[in-house]
Amino acid sequence: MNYDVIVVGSGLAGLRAAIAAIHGGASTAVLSMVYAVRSHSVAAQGGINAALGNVDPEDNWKNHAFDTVKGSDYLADQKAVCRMTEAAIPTIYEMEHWGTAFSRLPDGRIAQRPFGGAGKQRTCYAEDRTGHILLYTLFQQSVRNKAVFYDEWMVIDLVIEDNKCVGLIAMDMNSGELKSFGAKAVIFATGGAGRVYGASTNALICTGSGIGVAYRAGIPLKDMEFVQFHPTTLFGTNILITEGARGEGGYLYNRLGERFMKRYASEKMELAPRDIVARAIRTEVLEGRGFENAYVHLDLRHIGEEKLNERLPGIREIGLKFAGKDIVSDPLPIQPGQHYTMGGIDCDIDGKTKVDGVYAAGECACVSVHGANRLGGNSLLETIVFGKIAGDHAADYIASRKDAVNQSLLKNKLDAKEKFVSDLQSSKGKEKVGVLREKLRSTMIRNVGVFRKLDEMKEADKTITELKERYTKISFTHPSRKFNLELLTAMEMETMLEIGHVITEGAIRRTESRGGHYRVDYPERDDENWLKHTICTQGENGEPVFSDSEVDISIWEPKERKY
Amino acid sequence: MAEKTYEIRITRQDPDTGEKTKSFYQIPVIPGMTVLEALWYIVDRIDGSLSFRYSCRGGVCGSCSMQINREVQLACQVQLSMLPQGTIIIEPLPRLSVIKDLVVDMKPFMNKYNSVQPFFANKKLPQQGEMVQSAEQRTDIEDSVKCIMCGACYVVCPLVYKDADFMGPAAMAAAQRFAFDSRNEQGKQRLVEVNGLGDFHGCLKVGKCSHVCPKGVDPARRIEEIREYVEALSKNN
Repeated sequence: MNYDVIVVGSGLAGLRAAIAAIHGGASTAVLSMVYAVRSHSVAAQGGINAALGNVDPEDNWKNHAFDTVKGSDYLADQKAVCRMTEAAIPTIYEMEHWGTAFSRLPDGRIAQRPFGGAGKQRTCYAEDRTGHILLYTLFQQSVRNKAVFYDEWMVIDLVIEDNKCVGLIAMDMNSGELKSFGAKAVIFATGGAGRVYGASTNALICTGSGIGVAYRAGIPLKDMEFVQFHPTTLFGTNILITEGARGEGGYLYNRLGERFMKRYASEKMELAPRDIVARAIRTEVLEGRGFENAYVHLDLRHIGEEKLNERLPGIREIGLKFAGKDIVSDPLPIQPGQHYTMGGIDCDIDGKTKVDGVYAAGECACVSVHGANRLGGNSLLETIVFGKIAGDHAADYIASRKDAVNQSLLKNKLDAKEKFVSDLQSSKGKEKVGVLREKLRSTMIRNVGVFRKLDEMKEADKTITELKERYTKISFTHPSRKFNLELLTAMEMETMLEIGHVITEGAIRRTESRGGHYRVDYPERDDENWLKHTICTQGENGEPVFSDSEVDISIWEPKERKY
Repeated sequence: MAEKTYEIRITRQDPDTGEKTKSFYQIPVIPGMTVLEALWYIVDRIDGSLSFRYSCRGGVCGSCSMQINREVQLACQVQLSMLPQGTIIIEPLPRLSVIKDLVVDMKPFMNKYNSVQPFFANKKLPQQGEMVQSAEQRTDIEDSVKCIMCGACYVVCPLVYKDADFMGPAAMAAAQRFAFDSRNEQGKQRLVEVNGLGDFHGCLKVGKCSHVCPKGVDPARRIEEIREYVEALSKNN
């Protein structure tokens, strides 16, 4: 099959990109591992930032941009941030005009709630199901625009010739067959790599598969060592408990009944940015003031049943179904968990990567608008704003590209991948891929987590090298390719090992603390040496090779970050 | 003393021959373990040939609906410890063709959802800002927008069973959602113009759809709201 534009991934970024490409006149298909409405965007809870000024008439997009830059610990590119926060306002209105059922103020305008690291009350929301409501809107608009979907297809290789996009190779998960797709433009919108970690809030599908495909095709990754740990995930399952719970007035308490945030962010308290709150909770637990040496309490009881039902019904449901706790009468046991991949496929302000015709948008991309720490409510915004930008640019690009797609190259790549999968399936070792995956996850969360120590990271690096070796000795229970979870896991695992490697070595290399990356041995930010993006490409022997690139600080001068 | 375990029986189906079998697995007791986690335990540690769908594992994506002890539920929301003692029986959603094991063909369900034209297509848009909607107006759609398209209502609806063309509860709840949204310029008239009326009359009011819905969409109530509107319309004519 041939299309002008293929979008990989069907979350918010992917669907918005597809709609833009269709509007731009491109024949467009969306390939996704899951049906569109199953994408991880659906799980976003608290909201989406835009300086509408509905609650706080003094707000404007420049305030939003500054909060974002400060929140990023000055690693975000400032012009890119401004582009996002200025576009935020028309983006929200467009979504609303497409039917998004935002929660409302008494006068009928879109409601906005306070969120972490924000100077104004600017997070638009739909109860605590904002991602779900937005994703359904874009899915519905995709139906309206007659988007072509390949549901349950896994992209496994990108085909490039003379630094130009030719297409990709993908597996139909239901039949197990591989197919090649010609496309002059490919937009990656495959989400983050949270499941490289244990204790992640992410959907099980967030294994970084798209990031891995781009990386193996020679496209650089950026800032991968910056991983966000969300302060409030449910103890046990690590299901997300939205920052909106604190935005609505929730308190954090330790075992001694102290609102301990006063020690870490005396002004912003529970609404300090996520990296700061996550470290505060870990510190309380490490210093013996947590419960069961593992968690603290998020207390919402004082907010009252009526308001909790109105603003946080999903959180009440999660508490009841997954922890047996009713937020009306019980505090929730919470701990930090892996939440967001700040880094990703290196792309510019238009979503373009170094390969002509290959774009990235959303969590899999690194523009960078989040820098070292993303503010809550900015990820949904990034997906829609940069999804549209990538889709628009891809449509323009294909209109300018007159050459025909090299079909014989596609065929050769398809044959090569066919052999790769057959070889993988016929390997005769004793290792179980699921066991290796658990080892990787437990290593990453333990050794490359909230607080990072050199010896622990080196141990993780060694473990990953060993796991890569053991990975060559995996075997399979079953030869079929049809919806074979073991095979799919094995293909994802190749990527997860690469990404774990890039995160770990990037974290070892960056000898400073900034945003989500905290080095116990280098506790200060070091602008002199490290105010720069980390760039990583795959070396000839598969090893990560690092370099740097400049951060755009043309608008605000970096300052110490205090809350 | 032998280690305490759960026994799980899973209905399997071979994708090539269509042959149905039952597999039995012993799962160690791990506090809080959900059915979905147990299925992953099986794939990772016991039998990699088992197939099922998964994504969010938090009850919001709708991927893992299946029959657990003959009840249609989301596997990620059911903990093994919540189930009665004895073998836990896991089967695919009924009435949809099986692709492999617990993976069923959701396309008939999805196509019916899409067939109600579930989207806004307003021609007149405000030049500036949002369309105003009061909190009270929003209550007309606040339950129907909770749908996660898991298909639970669809597979338990007796009329879907009787009539393969019947659109089913989720699609009708979606029709309600767009017709009753105060901002949609097509208004409730859309039910007649876009959706036709046949299926709305067809509902047998059995209410199983609302009983199994994991998100409180209450499709039976949504269909009733449509019916009330349609009946008022025919009285006025």
